[in-house]
Amino acid sequence: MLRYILARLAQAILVLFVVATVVFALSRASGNAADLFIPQDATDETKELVRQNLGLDKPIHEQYVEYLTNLAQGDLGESFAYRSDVRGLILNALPNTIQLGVTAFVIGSFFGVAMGVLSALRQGTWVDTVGKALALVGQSVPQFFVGILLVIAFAVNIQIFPPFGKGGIDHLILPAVTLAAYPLASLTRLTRSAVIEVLRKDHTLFEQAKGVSAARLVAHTLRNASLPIVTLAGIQLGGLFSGAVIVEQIFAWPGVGQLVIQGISSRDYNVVQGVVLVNTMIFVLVLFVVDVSYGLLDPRVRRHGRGVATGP
Amino acid sequence: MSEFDEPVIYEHDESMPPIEPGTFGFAMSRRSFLYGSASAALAAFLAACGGANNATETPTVSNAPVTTANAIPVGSSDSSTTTASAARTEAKTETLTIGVSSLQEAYVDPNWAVGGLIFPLQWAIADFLYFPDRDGKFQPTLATGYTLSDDKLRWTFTLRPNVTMHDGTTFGAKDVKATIERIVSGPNANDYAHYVAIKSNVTGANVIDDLTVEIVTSKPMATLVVDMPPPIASDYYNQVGEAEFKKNPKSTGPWKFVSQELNANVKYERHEEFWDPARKPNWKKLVYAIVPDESARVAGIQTGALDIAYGLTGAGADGITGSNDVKLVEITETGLGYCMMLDNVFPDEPSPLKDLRVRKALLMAVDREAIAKSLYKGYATVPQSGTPKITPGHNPDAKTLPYDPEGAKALLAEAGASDLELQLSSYTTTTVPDMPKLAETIAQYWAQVGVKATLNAMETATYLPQWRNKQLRGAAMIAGPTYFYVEPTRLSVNSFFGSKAVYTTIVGDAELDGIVEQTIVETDFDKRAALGRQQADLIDENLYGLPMILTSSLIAVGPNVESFGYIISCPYAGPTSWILAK
Repeated sequence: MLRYILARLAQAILVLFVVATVVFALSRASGNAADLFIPQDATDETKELVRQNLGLDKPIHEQYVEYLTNLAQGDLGESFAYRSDVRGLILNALPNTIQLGVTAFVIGSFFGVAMGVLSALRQGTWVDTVGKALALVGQSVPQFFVGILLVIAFAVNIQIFPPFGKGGIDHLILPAVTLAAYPLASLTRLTRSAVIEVLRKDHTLFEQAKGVSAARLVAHTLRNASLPIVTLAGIQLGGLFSGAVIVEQIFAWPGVGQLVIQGISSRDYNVVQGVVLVNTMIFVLVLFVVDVSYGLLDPRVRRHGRGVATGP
Repeated sequence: MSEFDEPVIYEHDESMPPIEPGTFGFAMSRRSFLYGSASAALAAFLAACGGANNATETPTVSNAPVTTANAIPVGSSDSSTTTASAARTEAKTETLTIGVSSLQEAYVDPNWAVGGLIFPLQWAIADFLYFPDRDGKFQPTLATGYTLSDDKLRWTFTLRPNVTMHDGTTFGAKDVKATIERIVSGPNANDYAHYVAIKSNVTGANVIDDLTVEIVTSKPMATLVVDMPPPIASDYYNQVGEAEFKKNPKSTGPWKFVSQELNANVKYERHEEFWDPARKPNWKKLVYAIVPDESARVAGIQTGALDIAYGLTGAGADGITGSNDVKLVEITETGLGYCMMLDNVFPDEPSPLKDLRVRKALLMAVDREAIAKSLYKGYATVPQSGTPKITPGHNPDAKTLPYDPEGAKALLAEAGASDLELQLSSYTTTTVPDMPKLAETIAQYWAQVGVKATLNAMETATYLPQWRNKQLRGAAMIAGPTYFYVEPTRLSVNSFFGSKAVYTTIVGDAELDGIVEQTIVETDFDKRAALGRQQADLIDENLYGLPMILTSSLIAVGPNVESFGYIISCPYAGPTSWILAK
């Protein structure tokens, strides 16, 4: 198990290094950010001074080495546009994104799994039909459209939730439900198919023949169907943090998504790099936790120190 | 009782009086509620389900004049004192929330705030020595007047007494001196375009006495009054230092900074000791809420989460015009969309665009009236001149070339350019909305007279550097924020025309350059205006840039706002001290 964890850690570090390099290369390939900050009628001397201040006068390889060195020390640089420490900016926004992402994850996974199990157990009934229809809608309708519809329905017309902004629980509901729509639908579909598959297995039929209670049957079935569900849920959780950009824009949620949008529009290299790296770290961390959880769920992983095929 | 307390409110069923330049109030536009989009239809359906029905809106207007009296124009050495009026009646509303699409500010420091919403942020927390009135003419505010030495290098400002700053100290010459020194020697000064002139020309500030300060320049600087930064509370600044001051700035304005949550909001509380009772807000708290999505801002104004929403498009306005509680304010002529003839930048490269007949033809080929009505849904007009009306020297009698496709064809044939092909570049900007669509429409009109334009649309961050670095050819769209051209040399020096133009160095027109050189150092307002007229005439005669469209800014206003004032061609309500809450 330890070798398994160490191998996963090494992979995670490699992924982070590659992502850091790609992000650096892409941001530099898009042009010189100094041009955006140079005063309109500045002299050549002033222009050069601005480039020096931003560190953009150095050769690209020097910028890269400096970037990696700083990164290793947790220094994400200074935002050109905000004129502030990028790490501070991200740390300021990240709790908001985590709050939104985790809430959406809880909503998506709880209702997704519940609806999937219910659909599987009531296969062919109206419950199953409704579940499948909702899953289809949730997966196919774009996030921004879901968000706007929810705002019109629950903020403008019924007026039970605020239309945007961060505040109490009521501010969290609409953006979290919007963000949860896709993972909820995906988990519903996957859980349904995974549970149906387990229900058809001989050991489940044997349990049913023995007359075990419905609750116990569901518990056993879910345990056996859990690996693909946990895998998908993990991927969805990672995606929720990076995928919150649109939802944060619609609902004016002051998270990392808004920060990166501002960074992109003002070509604020350091902010974009920092946010992408932090998102990557979160994603890698979540997948690492998912990998480790296989060991808890599947004794074969614990025993052999390696993963098993888990996809649907 | 102050005139602020007597706003004229026109009821919903009254017709809309014309909006005169610089008057204040709500200009409502009647627009069809159903504009055919699926979302609008669905919204109507949900509205029917939800119950909160919006009646069809008819235009309303209110007027609430708000400014100090005794205008003296910039450049005049005459001085005048603004008389404070009586206090306003306190409103029932305690907090007004203004929704904006972006602030892009790490700090709301009145000196260092840059980017998205610099003017409203500065106007909230700070006052200026001189500030524009509703006609865009600068009036004495924290200053009561100035004198200028014979060599035009020493400006002596007399300052208003008994002005209490946010830190409790009394405003004086030391605060002006500290601010100038902060700008000139500040660590970030090189990054701020609007201080370049100060940094380049101001050599020092001297305290003559508590209420008299002398600013010394290295050469005549006609724009000093316009460019002067808002004074900060220097005692507090010296006490806490630069870093802490930026986080919690203090100045003299009607609002005191309370807090800022990045990309979420900025909060202020009323400065109870604000010196001018006529401009002291009649409500207690001001919030700028950052709401990037337009539909969310519309929802915010409909639900009361916002009291004022900036930056709406015609489509967004459609969602509001049916509401009884929400008013739509159209501030006209806030953005001027040019189609610049960039080939004139390169003297050694032959191009049909260097022929005035071709440039005239390209303007005559476009039905700008139709564009204003269709693309901008009526929230735009056809510019009669390349110089906006806020600019001193603007010719109010200027007449643009009419839409005449046949005439355009004839001119092109005469110039031997009937089969003209060129690139038309564009970008996205909030100053003139839908710029890529505008370019596309222009290209279609040009096609009707035989001109083939290849469209080249880019994001702003890519476009502007290419523009400045002269990497574009042919024709290219550019948006001019008209309020910025309150100073005539900005049109030539900071923007588009003349050999000193920053963006393009677009033409080497010796006559135009000569006029600009004179204007830069001419401190007499009337003479500057005369020079501005010469500049405007030359710009219109030569058509180095084709003035395509003058767009409006749309602001939605909720029921808690009784009225507000605005500066001519400025896309924002207020300053906030010109807003009256109910």
